[in-house]
Amino acid sequence: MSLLSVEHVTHRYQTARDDRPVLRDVSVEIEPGQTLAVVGESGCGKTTLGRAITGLIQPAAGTVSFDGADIWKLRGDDYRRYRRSVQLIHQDPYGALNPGLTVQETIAGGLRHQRIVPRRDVRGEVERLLGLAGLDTSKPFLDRYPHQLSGGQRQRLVIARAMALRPSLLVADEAVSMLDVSMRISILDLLKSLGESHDLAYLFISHDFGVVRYFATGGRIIVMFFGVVVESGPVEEVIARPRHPYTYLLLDAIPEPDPRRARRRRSDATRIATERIEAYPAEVGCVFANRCPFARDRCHTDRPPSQQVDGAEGHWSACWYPEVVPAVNVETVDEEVV
Amino acid sequence: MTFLRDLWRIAKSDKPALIGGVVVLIYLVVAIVGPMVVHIGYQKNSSLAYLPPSLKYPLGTDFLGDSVLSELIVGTRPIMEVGLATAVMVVAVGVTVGLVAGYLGGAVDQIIMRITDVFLTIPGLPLVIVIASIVKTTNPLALAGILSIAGWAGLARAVRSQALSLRTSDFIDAAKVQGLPLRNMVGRQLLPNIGPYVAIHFLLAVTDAIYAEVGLYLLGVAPITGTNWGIMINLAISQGALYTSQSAFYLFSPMLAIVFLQVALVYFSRAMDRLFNPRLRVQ
Amino acid sequence: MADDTTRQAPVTSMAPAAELNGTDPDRQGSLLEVTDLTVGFGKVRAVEGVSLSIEQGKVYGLVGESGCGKSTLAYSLLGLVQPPGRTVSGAVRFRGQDLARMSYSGLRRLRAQHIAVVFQAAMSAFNPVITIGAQVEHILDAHPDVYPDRREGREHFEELLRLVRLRPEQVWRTYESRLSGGMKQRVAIAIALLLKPEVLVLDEPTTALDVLSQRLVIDIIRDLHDTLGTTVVFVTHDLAVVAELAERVAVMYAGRLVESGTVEEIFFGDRRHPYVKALISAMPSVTADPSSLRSIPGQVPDLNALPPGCRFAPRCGFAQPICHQVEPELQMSASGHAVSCHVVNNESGEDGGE
Repeated sequence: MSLLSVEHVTHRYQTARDDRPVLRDVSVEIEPGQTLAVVGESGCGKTTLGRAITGLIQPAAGTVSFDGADIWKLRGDDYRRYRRSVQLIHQDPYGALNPGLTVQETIAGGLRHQRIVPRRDVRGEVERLLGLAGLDTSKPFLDRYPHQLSGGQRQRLVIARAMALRPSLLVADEAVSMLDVSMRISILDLLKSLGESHDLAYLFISHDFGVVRYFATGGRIIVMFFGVVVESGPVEEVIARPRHPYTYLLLDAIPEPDPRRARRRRSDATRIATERIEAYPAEVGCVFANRCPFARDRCHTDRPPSQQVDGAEGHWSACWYPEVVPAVNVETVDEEVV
Repeated sequence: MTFLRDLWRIAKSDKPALIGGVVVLIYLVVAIVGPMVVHIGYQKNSSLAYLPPSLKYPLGTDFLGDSVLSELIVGTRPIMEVGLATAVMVVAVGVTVGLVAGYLGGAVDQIIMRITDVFLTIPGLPLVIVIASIVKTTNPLALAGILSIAGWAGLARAVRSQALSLRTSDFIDAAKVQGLPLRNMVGRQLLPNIGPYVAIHFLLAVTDAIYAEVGLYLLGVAPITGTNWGIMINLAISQGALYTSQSAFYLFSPMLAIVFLQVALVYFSRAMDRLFNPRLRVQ
Repeated sequence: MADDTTRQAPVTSMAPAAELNGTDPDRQGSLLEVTDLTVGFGKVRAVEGVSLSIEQGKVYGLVGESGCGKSTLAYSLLGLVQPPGRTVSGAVRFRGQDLARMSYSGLRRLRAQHIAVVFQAAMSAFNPVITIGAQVEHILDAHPDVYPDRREGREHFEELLRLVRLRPEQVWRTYESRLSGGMKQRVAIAIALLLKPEVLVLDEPTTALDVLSQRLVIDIIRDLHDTLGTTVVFVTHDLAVVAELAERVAVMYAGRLVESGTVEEIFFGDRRHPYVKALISAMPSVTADPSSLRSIPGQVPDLNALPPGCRFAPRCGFAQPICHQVEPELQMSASGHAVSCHVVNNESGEDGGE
């Protein structure tokens, strides 16, 4: 049984001026200890999916189940267990920390209320968690406020706080996007090692394929577009052989950190798609049809179901014509002599 | 302890705040210690009435021959008791209501806000005057309660809007995901973030309460027993102090006492922002 | 072995370059000269001793992480540093004219007609109560010497809109609230180019954009440069964008210029600054081999508490004793590639370089 499963979840974003679907019949499963990466551009619903999984929003339709039980029907100890087991790491380390609480108080809060350890052990546990996250455990550091910490330290503190409740699933929503490039690898490494040592599952949300490739090796990936899962499969497989036009476009459009190869003209398909960037997602037919450079008549009338890709186990694509998706021009660069 | 040290450091760097703080402290000491040390004889000796200031009577005498200074000192405690008690009540009620309404939102928020609106629209001072004249009490807590009726609603509304904007913060999400209960969300997560606002408002609420209280006594709505600054002004006017220039000290001393305290409180509130905001307090 | 008198070596301005400038015909086209510029905010020096030469017609990438001073440097190119920031020393010259000595009206003309800037929050640069077209007309009216004939100005604007892949009818009579963030940024670029400036400065043009929008902006900037020949200076923290767009690169770290050269030299040169090498190896990308990536230990120094000697030394894998004592100077090679590093410049007393 999966650790966490999302079944046919649909949700709308409603304000005074705006009403649009944010998740459309999304279903995913996360097994214990597994990493599931979610990639897409803004508005695709990946953050909403993360919030639905952590119980911060209740979807308009569909169920989110933890260990087989609908999270919105849990009570008492079962609910508390779910609450402890699923934790969240935000994008903005500064916003994710209460500016009025010290380092000590930030971590101790959850520890005390969930009675993770007896009262007298709280201080020791706080130090243990800080050490786990690679932070200073001295008294002066414990008394610091978030504004006195650097960006990397703040994110580590957020991670330490998330680990305090001994979770089994961490939802990392753009966990490194707001950090300086030089620090991203070390935070990703920290998350990876915590994942291994604590058998953690991850829902790793990112818009950056490079980061996903580094973090989610051996895991699965889903690609979302305006609330629809358009492609899913093993990370390396999807990146090497995408089977949905949108995935292909995303991969082709990424700027390459290699001036020799970056100058190549992107494919015509990419050029067309970027020009249609303002086209509104269709309500009828394939949601991507209005922007797709390969769209045919059927794409505008019938919504394609998610279908297993031929010859690739576990690789699914919601496209009528996955065979038109070209191969991506992505080869690993030979290492320069350093 | 560190709190007091921080307070000292902050006040030192802001002269008006320091002066304000010292003055407020003096008033507090006078309020506590004064009545134990100074006594009023309640003479009824009209030959001693409205004497000019002298060594024995530094601020002169009132219409009964009592020392104005003594009355001022003794009259400090009732005023400050009620002022502080009112501010405590206003802040306690206003902040709790505002935070709960702002954080919970939805139906709870609507109901609370409608009640708050009622209290906001009823004119404060007339309401308080009417209630005070009916209830006729000298119990400081009861008086504070009456005065606070008019004051909590404005604070509740302001705090609510702060809670509304804080509610969408990521750290609130994080607290929810940790399963922290409502009292923790309000008390531990939200409250420290509006600390400066509450502290400043507390001090200003004291000034409001003192004005209102003095007003009640001045208007004769609150019973005239014992002595305090409001009673002094009331009696000064009703006993003909306006008609003779010799009574100037009697009439103006309590007014000046009030004004100095109010200004001191306002100046002192300048330190509150730095004191309660960790970003400003700690480097 | 720390020496407690840290000698702060003054960074050589492009003195070698100035000589080359005189003799090398290629270098005649220097539009903007930054000479030993130091910009401070109170006690903090956001930019310290930076010298840079922006040549006509080239695309420059100014790259660095948070707090390195790249944005401050970019704003200095237009004389836009506001109090409490101020130029402590050094100068920025446009065609030989010192920006600091220009009159207010001179600066105003400079900024619209010669050096244009597109800020990071271009979306908020529009007046919400008048149409885009009206705003463009205001600009044309304010600079009648550029387009005496309004119609010509409007036509040129429409041409620019097409270059940024927008249709004039989408934009002219529209209010800014009807346009998406990405569209507004492109309109802002078109407006910036309206008065035919020689230089276009873009502050973080791709940051916070989605992948496809980023691609669009990168392609647009390339097209604009190819078609109009405008000199482009863009500020970014993303080395991939630099690889895509830049011909010349200047890398900043903690207020100092640590390396400048062509984009090939920055990515593949054999005499690169350790920070530049480390930064490239710290970037996860779809093409990089994950096992070869390394994070840079430590963190960017606090500008209030800089380490003695080279600012990168505490984090540098190649640091020698001298690196912790003396700040390195910018040394330029014959090809125009400049690096500020003791080890690379063989100043460490050991056989540095690779």
